[in-house]
Amino acid sequence: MSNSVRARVEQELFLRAFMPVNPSSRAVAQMIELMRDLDYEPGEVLFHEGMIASHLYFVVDGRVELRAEGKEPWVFGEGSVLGIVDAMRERPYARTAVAVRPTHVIAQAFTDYMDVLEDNFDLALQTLRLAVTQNEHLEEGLKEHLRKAGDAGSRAYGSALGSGDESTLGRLLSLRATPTFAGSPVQALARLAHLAGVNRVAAGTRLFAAGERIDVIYVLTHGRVEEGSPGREIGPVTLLGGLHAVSHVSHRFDAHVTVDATLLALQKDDLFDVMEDHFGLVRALFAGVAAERETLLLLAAAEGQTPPRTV
Amino acid sequence: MRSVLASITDVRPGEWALVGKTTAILFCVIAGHTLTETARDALFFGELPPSRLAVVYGVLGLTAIVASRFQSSLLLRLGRRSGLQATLMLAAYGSALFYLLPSSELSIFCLYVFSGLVSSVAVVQFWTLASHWLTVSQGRRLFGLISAGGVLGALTGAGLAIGVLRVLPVTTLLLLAVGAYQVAAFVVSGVEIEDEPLPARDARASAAGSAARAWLVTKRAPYVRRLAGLLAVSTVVLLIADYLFKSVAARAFAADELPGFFATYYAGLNGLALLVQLALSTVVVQRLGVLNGFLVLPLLLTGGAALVLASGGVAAVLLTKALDGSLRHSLHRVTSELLWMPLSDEEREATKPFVETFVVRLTQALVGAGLWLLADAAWDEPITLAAVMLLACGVWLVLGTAIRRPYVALFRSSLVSRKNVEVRELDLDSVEFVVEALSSREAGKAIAAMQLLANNNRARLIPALILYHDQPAVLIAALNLISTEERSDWIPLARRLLEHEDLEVRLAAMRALARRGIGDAAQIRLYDVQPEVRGHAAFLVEQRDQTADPQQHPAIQELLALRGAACERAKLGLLAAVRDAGDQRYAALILELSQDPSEEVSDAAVLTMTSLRDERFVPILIQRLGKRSGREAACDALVAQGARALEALRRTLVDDAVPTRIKRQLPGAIACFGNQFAANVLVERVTNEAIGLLRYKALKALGVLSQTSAVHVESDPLEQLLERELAEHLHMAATGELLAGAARGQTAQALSILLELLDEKASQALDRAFVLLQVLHRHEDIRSVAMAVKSPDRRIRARASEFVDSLTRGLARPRIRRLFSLIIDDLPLQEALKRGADDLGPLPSSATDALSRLLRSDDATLAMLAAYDALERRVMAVTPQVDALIAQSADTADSSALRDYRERVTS
Repeated sequence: MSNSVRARVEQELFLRAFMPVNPSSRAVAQMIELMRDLDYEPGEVLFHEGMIASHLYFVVDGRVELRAEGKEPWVFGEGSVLGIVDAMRERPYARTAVAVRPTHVIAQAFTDYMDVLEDNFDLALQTLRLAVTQNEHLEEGLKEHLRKAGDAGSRAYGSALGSGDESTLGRLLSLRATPTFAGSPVQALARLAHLAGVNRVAAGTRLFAAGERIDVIYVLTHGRVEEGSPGREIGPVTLLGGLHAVSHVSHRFDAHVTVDATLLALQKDDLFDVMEDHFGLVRALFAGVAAERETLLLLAAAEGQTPPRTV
Repeated sequence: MRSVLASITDVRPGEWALVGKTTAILFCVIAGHTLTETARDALFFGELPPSRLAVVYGVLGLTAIVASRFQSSLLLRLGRRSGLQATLMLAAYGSALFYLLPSSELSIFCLYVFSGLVSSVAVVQFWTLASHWLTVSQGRRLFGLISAGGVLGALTGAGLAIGVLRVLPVTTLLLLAVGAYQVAAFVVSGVEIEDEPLPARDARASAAGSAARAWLVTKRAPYVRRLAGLLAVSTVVLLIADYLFKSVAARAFAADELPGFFATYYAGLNGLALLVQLALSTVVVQRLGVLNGFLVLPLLLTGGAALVLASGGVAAVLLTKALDGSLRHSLHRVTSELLWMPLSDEEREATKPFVETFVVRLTQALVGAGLWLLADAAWDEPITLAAVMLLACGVWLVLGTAIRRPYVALFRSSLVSRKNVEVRELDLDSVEFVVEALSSREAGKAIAAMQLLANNNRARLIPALILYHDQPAVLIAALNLISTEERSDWIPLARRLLEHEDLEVRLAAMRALARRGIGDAAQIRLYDVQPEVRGHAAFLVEQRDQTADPQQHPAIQELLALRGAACERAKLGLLAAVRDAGDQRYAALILELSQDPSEEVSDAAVLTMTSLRDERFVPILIQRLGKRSGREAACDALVAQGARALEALRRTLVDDAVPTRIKRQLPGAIACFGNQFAANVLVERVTNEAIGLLRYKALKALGVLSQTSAVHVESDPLEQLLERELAEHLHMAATGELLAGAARGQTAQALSILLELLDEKASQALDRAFVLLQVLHRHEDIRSVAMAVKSPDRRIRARASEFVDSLTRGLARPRIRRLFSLIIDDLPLQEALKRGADDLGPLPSSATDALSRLLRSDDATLAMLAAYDALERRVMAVTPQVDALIAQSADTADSSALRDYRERVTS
């Protein structure tokens, strides 16, 4: 009994210290209910490359290497979370995790983890914000590299149905084509389409400034917008500010219209309400963060940088 | 032939090969056993008196200990399949040996024991293997057919025996049995199974004998023990029935007539059993369920025993044996095997051979000894035996009824992965660990440790010295947690923090001191550089003076006269102080500040309403629910206002003038009240709300409420809804299937979105059904069940299906159970729709009909997408409905876009 109480206390302590904000007792209890403590000796495998990414591993103590053939291993220590990127992207583990020291981890089924987030929407939002911030930190370190890579935002967009942006279907199609919302439930997007307003903005108009509070998020459906200064030019169909606009309180960059643009404008409160009602939308956003993280990780690895604590 | 069998047994595509081979194996095993049994009985009763039968039972029981060990070893050394093969080959060689041995009393006695052991070991091994191959859902459907193979085997064996005995000596039957066992072994080798484990290591095998016993003390043992008790008592009843029958037969017939009588009677019984098996068994299991089905035989035998007791006649004995013979190897065998299914393969393999061989045979030995004693005392008259049998039947029925709860509990525990983590008390070891974490330099860890102690009512263990920590976040958390009435060690250290460089720390220190009535702290900070601190201090000064209207107090007036950001910060400080003190005199000021242009101030005012009670707050709080920021605080504040707020929420919820943006938040707020009235309001909305989104929100809120509070919900309207949701799921799935089928090969943009949407709607309807089931069964973890239903593992799905079946049996509407079964069972959709035709109402007959129905749907998105799909794929038959939709559409942009598209397409 004593051991189980202590194990539970250890888990709670770890979770409270690890989570982005002070989680509610309910959320902590739910998480602990579904967690398992595992110990590994050096050389033991936590998971193999190619296995279904069903679990997340919170490293409480020790050291783990993520290995893949022909690639430099990534080393993770206390406070790291392993397996989350693969799980979010609904694919097998991309690397094999091997303990290189005696390691204590807490494992949790990914479905259970998402269930807890679904029950605690604010925690989900804070987790999303943390994940986006981590990506931004990675991005900061890769600024030069990303600048060289150039603009990736220009896409050809058009609807075979040709119903125009004004109609609900037109708005729905625009949202569906926006990569940030890829994989979102149709119902969620249909509700957002109903709630979105259509703004036509002339070239030269400033949409928002860095540091301004984000009350409205914009999806560019036609035209072009420059983000940041000096900025990168963005084409349709793009969520201005990306996931930062969804998860953060204030804008990261300036944005102004360079070619007459049509924008879908969504109140952020409305977006959150829809996210709360359709958790599939939150899952899709997490998948987007994971995809972004992977791209950045690969770039960081190419640049010889240390990976963040969550992969 | 297949269709005839399918209509009786429900074999699905892909299952025929396995079912065929499994049935053939049982056919041969039972045919072999019947041949041996006929030879054995004829030889035994021809040479020995019936009273020796009791001795045989005793010896059989004792040898069962060896057999149980042997069986476990076989399973672990060779695996399930090879183990059965080995047993069958041993049965064949043994039968051949008895054929060759000269007939003597000893050899006949040994033959009896041998055949008894073979039948129990081989049959147990066979069913263990079958239970491994099939899931519990498949077992419900297919065990009946497989058992019928066994009954047919018995019939064939008996028929062969009749024919052979006319021309050849009785021992020839043993030769035929050799052939039957060998054919069975051959068929076993031809079965390809997906997950045969590797033969166990020697170490495991050596532990085999103790494995079963070890299991009896494991956590699942209570169920196994009950099952063992049930099997033991059923063995008592069946053995007495057998003894009764055989002793009556031995008295009624001459020795040379006995072989013919037994062969004919067994053939007749087996024919009857086959009829029961094919016509009744599966239907009874599907309709009554496993547990009720299991009680059919003891119920009928109770009647039989009562009849024997009343009449004492041969006819009553023969009737009782007929009931036993017709049901034991059909319905009773199926339900008995299904009772093992809640256990995992490993658990079943560890316990079943032990129980079915050792426990059953030991019971036989004891009953045998008892019968021998009765016979010796000449008390083995039918009436005496019937009385004992009646008593045992009663015990059987009681135990059979009592196993229901653990049976369901076992399915439940196999689906629910959650562990019981409720910790009521921290023990010394844990406390030491947490206190150690308090000294961590990492703020997160130290705060977590403090919160954990506070949550466990151990805040007094947080040392006051933590107020020397260098992290502001730790200081603030500590000040909030340790500033209690019971201790004062922190006060001098908190005073020191009034000068801390961090504003939040200064504020926290002042509030902590103020809570303990140390007002001089406020005076000190009245001229603090930070307006928040001044706001807080002003409140404390006013409170000391206790003016009638706090807004008139100079300190407060001075504060409110500030301008710009300073004013905002000062108001926040003031509100925080009012919140801490809960001073009712500030209600008017709070009301005023809730309308402050600064969102931060108005949010803080709403939060402050949680600590005051004022009717005027209610409409403001309800309005605030429409806004995300401060919504949680608004909910808490409404709860703090009590019953009037709840009634106001109810009225607002049914008010058509209130915008949906606000209404959609009301069910959640109502659920926060956690009382019966809140539950009633939500049930009413779930039942009567016309707008889908609001109905869904009410249902979700009801789900939360029923989980968090002990409220009673009226089940009838919810069951009605549950039925509707399940039907909705299947309707959506059917519509999607029809449209996908019709458009195969086409790439249509609208259709692909429409199909996705239909799929989502089907899935949501099922989710809603599970929420309703959760409300109806608030103590069950239905969420885990809903997850298990979607598991890729067919065994987990089958367990979920069995569990849902058990839960829904108690509902007033049987249609719910049928619909759940159609959805959860691994049934192709078309087949499910066909079977559910009576329960589902009219389904769309064609893709065009499906499209036409969608065009008339209340869901605007569905109707719109259906219209675009009809136009895009040129489904001209529904053009009038598309035109009607365009005409009805209230949204000008939507209707004109659709009209444009229609014109483009048609031109």
